[in-house]
Amino acid sequence: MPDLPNPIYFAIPAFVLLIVAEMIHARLTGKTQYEPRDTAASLIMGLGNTVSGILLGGIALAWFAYIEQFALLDIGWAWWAFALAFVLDDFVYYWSHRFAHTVRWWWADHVIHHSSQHYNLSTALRQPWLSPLSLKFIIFGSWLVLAGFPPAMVAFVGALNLIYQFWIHTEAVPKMWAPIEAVMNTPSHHRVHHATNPRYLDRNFAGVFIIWDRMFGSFEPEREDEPCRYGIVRNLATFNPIKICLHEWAGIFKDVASAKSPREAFGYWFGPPGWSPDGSRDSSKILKRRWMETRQAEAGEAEAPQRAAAAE
Amino acid sequence: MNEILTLILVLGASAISVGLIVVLNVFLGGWTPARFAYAGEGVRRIEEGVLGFSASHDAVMGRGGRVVLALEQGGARLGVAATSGDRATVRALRPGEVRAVRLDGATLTLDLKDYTFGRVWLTLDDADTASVWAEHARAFVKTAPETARPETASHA
Repeated sequence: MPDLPNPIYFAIPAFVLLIVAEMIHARLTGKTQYEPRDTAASLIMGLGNTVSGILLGGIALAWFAYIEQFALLDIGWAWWAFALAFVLDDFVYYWSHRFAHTVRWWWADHVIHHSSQHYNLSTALRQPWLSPLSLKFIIFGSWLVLAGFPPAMVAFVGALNLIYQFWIHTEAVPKMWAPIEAVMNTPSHHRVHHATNPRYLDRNFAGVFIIWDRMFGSFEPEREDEPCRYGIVRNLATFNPIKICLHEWAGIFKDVASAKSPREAFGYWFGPPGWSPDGSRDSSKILKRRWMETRQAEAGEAEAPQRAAAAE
Repeated sequence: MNEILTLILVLGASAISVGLIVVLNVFLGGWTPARFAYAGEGVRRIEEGVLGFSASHDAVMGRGGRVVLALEQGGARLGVAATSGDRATVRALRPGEVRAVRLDGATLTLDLKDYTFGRVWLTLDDADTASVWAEHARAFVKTAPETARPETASHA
């Protein structure tokens, strides 16, 4: 077994240099903004994520080491196995990310990454602290290990995937060459993913390859006539890292405590974000439907005089 | 032992880098603390941020342009827009989502049942205007059946 390093440790200096470069670019061009308290919150969340990974990541490692004995195949360490693992890991990432947006239990973990109203390279590092406790990596990461890929290889390609996703958190890069936009996840595609405009909600879940969104019906291109508004539907009014980390978990516990039945409690815990027993809250689906109805009504009003004129 | 030392060095360097990047951000500038120029600007932000919220003509902005309050048409919700850094945060409050309302001359303070948006205060032009808006806000302290829950939604 090769002694694989953790590539994220080597990437950290590059992350720092690129953030500084983008910050200077932002100052010179005004194309993006950095606000110190937002930047500090994002970077502290990133640092905390690294520390929590060291402290809690052992849970996932122990699990992968345990299930390795049940693997169907022994794929080994060939170069093509790395390439295949990278692509399959990205496929698994797509689905885990999609579930992170549609199951509140996982959204409570992932919402941290979306909680800035800014979109710059520091946003990429705004990551949760309690991910290992959400069991997301265990549930979605187990498939490749059970298929026969060595756990260290799965961890390695997973880290490469995350490193790739760093550079796409920028407004400094416009739409790229069409063939690249067709296949790869790009800054343009990921801006859509971080936007709260109803048209863009819950779209573009890809990690590295945007093809998964195209295949599974979740792709939405960025439009020039609809600039992205970043953040979450109910934006946070705090830069406190502890509150950023815990706010959705606090919401879940509060809701579950108020549930009138086990079914309600289950819905609050595992239903989509915004789920409520009486439908009084706004989930992404409800928001998109309401937005669509508003658009259709506006289109109808705009067409009415034309129809009347045509009838005359 | 070497691995632990490397880890400590990486984390220490990262922590120092975080501090230096934030200092650089302060030094470079390029951001402006958000302020509403007039109440309508805050209303527009609320309507933009809360799909379906249609403000009535009843809106008010605190001195300094940091907070705007607006009643929804029909009075079902109280819209709040408050600046936060160089951005603004908005809420459409339903009955039961305001914990308490306090009035001190022309200064109105709303305590909200919101984990990250606990308090909003604004100083209005005069005590009479503040008193009127305190009454508006008190209507949202009481819980109305089936409307007391805050809205949440997937992001992003």
